Amino acid sequence: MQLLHISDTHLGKRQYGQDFREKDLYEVFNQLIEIAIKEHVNAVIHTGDLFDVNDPPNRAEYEAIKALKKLREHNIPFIVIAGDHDSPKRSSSLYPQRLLEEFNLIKFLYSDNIRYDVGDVHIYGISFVSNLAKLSLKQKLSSLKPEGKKSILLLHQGLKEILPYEGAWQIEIGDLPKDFSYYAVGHFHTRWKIKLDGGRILEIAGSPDIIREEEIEGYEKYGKGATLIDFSKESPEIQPINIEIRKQFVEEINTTKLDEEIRKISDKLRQIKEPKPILHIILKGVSLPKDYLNKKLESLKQFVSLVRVYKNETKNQQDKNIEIPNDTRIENLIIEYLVKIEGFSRDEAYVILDIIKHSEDKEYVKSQLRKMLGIENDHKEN
Amino acid sequence: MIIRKIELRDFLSHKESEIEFKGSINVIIGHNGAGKSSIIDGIMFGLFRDTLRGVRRQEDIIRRGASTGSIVLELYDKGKTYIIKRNLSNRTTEDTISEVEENSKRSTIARGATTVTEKITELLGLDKTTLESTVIIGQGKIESVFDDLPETIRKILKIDKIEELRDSRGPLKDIESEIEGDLKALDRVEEEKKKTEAEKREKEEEISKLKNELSEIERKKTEIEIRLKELTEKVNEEEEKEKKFIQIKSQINRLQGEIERLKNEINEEEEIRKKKKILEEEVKQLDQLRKNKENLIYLKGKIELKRNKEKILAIDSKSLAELKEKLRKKNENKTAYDEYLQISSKSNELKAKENQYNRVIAQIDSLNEQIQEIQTKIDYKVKEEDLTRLDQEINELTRKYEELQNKKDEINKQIGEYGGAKKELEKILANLDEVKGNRCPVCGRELDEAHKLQLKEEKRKQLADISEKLKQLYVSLNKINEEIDRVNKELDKKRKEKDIISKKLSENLSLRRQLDELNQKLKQLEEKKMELLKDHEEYEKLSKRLEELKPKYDEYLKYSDVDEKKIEELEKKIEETKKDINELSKEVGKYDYIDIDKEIQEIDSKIKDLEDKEAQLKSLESKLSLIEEKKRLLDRNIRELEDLIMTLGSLGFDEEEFKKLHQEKENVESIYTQLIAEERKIKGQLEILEGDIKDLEEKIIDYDNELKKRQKLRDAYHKVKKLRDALSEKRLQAYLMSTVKRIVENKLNEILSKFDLSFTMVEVNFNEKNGIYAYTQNGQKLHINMLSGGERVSIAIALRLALAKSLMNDLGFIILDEPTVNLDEYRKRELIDIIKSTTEVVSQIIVVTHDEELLQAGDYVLRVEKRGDSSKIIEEVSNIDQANI
Repeated sequence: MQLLHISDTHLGKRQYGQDFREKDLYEVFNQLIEIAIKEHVNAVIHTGDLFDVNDPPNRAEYEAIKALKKLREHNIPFIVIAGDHDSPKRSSSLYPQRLLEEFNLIKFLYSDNIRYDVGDVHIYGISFVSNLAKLSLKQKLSSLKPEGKKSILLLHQGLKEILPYEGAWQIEIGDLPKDFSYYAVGHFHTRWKIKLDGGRILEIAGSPDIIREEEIEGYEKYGKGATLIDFSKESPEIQPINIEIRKQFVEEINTTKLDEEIRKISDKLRQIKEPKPILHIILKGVSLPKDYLNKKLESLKQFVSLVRVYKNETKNQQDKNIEIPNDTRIENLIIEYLVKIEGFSRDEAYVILDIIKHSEDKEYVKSQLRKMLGIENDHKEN
Repeated sequence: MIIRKIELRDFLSHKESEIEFKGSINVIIGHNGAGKSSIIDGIMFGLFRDTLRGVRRQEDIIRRGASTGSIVLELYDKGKTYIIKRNLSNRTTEDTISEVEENSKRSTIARGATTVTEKITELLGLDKTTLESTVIIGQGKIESVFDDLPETIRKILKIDKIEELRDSRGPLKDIESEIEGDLKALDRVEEEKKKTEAEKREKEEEISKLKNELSEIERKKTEIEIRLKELTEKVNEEEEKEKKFIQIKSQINRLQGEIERLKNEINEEEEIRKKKKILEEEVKQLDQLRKNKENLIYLKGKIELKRNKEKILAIDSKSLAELKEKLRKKNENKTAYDEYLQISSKSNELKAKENQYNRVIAQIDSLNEQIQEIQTKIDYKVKEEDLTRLDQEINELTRKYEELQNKKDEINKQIGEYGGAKKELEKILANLDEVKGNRCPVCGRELDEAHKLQLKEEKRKQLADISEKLKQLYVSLNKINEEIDRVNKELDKKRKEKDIISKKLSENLSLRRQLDELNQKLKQLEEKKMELLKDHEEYEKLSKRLEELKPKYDEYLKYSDVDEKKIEELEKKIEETKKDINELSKEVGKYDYIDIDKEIQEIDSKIKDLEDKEAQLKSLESKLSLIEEKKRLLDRNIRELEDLIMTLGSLGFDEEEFKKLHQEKENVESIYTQLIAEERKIKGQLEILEGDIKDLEEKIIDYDNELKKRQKLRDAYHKVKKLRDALSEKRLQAYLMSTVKRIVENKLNEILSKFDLSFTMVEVNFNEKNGIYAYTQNGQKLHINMLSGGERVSIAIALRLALAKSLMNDLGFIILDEPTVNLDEYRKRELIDIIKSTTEVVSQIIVVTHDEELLQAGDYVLRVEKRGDSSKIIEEVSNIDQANI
């Protein structure tokens, strides 16, 4: 008994407004379907964001139908839940999955329809529930009890342990129902897995392509693709299967040796076969006029499909010795500059910041300055 | 930081609204005026006590009809909830902000409007203007961020504030000048210190010189003190002697004076005794003179008595003669008086009868008057026959009047008849003229023209006759009418005449009756008068006699008190008075003719002269006895003087010697005093000098203390200068510009990558309005204005977020007020996509809109409706979630 877990395919997304990126995602989806067929899996499970939006371009629907038909021909069921991206916001709209379901191309778990069995494996799924209803979601999870020994729960939610930002998560691992053997989770785009007590597994397949720059690091470490779940025994075993995707690089360029650095990157990119990669540049060193820089970067374009400046960390000539602090609030920048560049003490820097804030109150400024300079007593009488 | 919840009470159009922002994209939808933008105003008010739309007046913010209102705003950040309460009242603000930790521990962290706003600014990391320039986006203002960019950046970077500090008249420059001034003052202090030290040295030298002088003076002082002691003892001895010498000398002087005076006084004795003898001789006459004077005064009294008696005698003699004349007159009238009394009593008896007589006479007079009056009233000309005559005349006139009336009626009747005939004829004639056919208008017979003319002629003749007759009749009628008028008038006159005569006749009758009655009364009274006439004549006779007697009767009564006895008494008194006068004449003698007062005056003046001399005599006698006393005193004084002269000789006091000794002592003392004065002077000078030195030393210490500050001031001066340089355009400002530019650009590009734009990079120029440039994959540099609408909106929102995020690391929300205003359908779609993508950048989006299409973007929808006067919030929950759980 084998299952293929895929997720966050975002069909229809045109990253960077580029045609080829839309095509890339259809290509990736097809690859995953091919893998399922090749591996003779008993079913494919998809944990949400099949489409990038609730009303995807018809091209996306066409590509999905074409691929899923192949799967149906091989009698491999495609079990799917909806993610935050493809869920309708209004009750008058439909899940795009409903069309596919209508053609028997997929088994869509939503509303009361939350279970589908594949052999002795009981697959439960809850489509994405927004922050608004997270309390109800927790209640539902706590009351959810799977049948049989082999059970999988499909979810597409933010987990606090992975996305600990306000509004970004709806549940914590502790909120998951205890009795499932396997928790297949979507929404987070980088591969991740954790063994819970009792041999239970929580696994995130991640997106099969690089949807955001942050995923490049994870991609380089863990690759992108699907997860093969072997449920032959009582406890499941998993194996990641990576696919070939368009490469994306983040490269640093120090502008002080611009030509040399560009040449180095060119040499590296020259080795890459089709498709041409996407290049994200981090600029370092001294800041240069953008026109000039842009002209220089043009030479890289023969090797890439898209180049963009990801981060610009160049500095002015005189500030080159100062790092941008993590806390980029203006107050902090002023303090850092006064301390590190101008050599004021930290206490003095805070006084200076205070008088900048209150510059309109001349008397206050003067009294604070006198205190800082230690000359306050001389002028008290005045 | 996200906005969890807001409660609006009596705020703008909201009476009581509670809004929880549950979703990541919260859409507040409603018609214009429903109160949806008021929710954004509420958030702004909660944060900064101001509204997005700039409504600031409390009474405008408080819902109409309410007097107070409030906002409760709940923020959430990293496990902490912040509850901001702001009240609206025209009295006091009671704003607070409380922090609630995850374990529900709650504490108030600021209180008061300004403090709360400051705390919120600190928590957000953004102030109101920055928030408005970035993540709170007003209606149709998404792209205004491009235009406002340089200004927003200057504000965010506090460039203006830094420049204000650096201003050449700003506080830094002030402090710099202040320190410069202080340092210059310290240079002057140093100079002062040097001067002071020199002064101190000079004074010290002077002190050592003075001390030497002082010890020399002390040595001299000791020598002189010894000499002075010796001299003082000697002088004291001599002074004792001198005291006694002076005492005795003064006693001698006094005695010598006394003796001299006594001797002079005793020398007067002989002369006094001579004077005494003369005076004694003269004073002997005094007693005789006094006796003479008493005798004269006695005589003077007797003379006065005699004169009085003579006056009384004269008066009494005159009275006697008068009394005798009165008595004679009294006796003369005695007979008349008696007769008067007799007649008077008879007259009184007849008085009643006389009165009755007088009354009857008065009544007769009155009756005669009445009779006279009535007789004048009676009209004797009026007679009964007149009345009969008038009645006949009236009857005649009445008959005549009736006759005339009958005649008049007859004539009127004839006039009527002829008048009718005349009208008939006129009508026939008129008809004859109008007839066109040949038919008689009267009888209807056939008519020819001749016949017609004949007929006309005939009728005209008849008409003329009748008219003539009518004329005559009218003449007769007029005459008769005149006659009737005249008769009528006559009749009227006669009737009036008859009325007057009959009235007068009845009056005469009544008057005659009254006259008879009165004559009757008069007859009775005449009879009574005759009865009383005899008594009346008697009374008249008596009265006449009384009248004749009256003067004599009165004369008698006037002297009735005079009689013979009275005369006798007076004659006796006169006799006695004459006797007294004779006796007094004998006693007075010749003095009856001499001026006795003059005699008395002469004696008085002599007595007075002698009495003065008697007093002088007495004074001389007492002087003589005093002189005897003095003679004894003189002997005693002479003996005492001799004793004193003896004592003085034994004393052995030499005045010359004593003076010399004294002079020497004074000389020595003056030298000593000089020395002491000199010593004191020097000591004083020393004391001053030492005080001066102490002051100078203190001054030097003060100067030193002040000079210690110099280094500190120099350091401060350098630091202020350094600070001013550090804050300059090329230093801190440039650093902030470039650093923030990097940060903002990075964030902008990072955010834009979420919006799926295909630019290589986007560049921001802070110093330029709309200074945003995008680089395409083809290497083209495009100004923001050359980009598509969708791209511009994306960049605008991304830039706003980038600005906010670079200032506030954990920015959690963005608020859009009516973002679709002025957008066409296509761009609306793009905006919805951008809003959706924004959830990848911030966790909370609040969109206020009237546009139903935007509902596609929201995962939490609040509908705002106006119910009556206030706004109502309705939560629209999507049933998608409900279906899934």
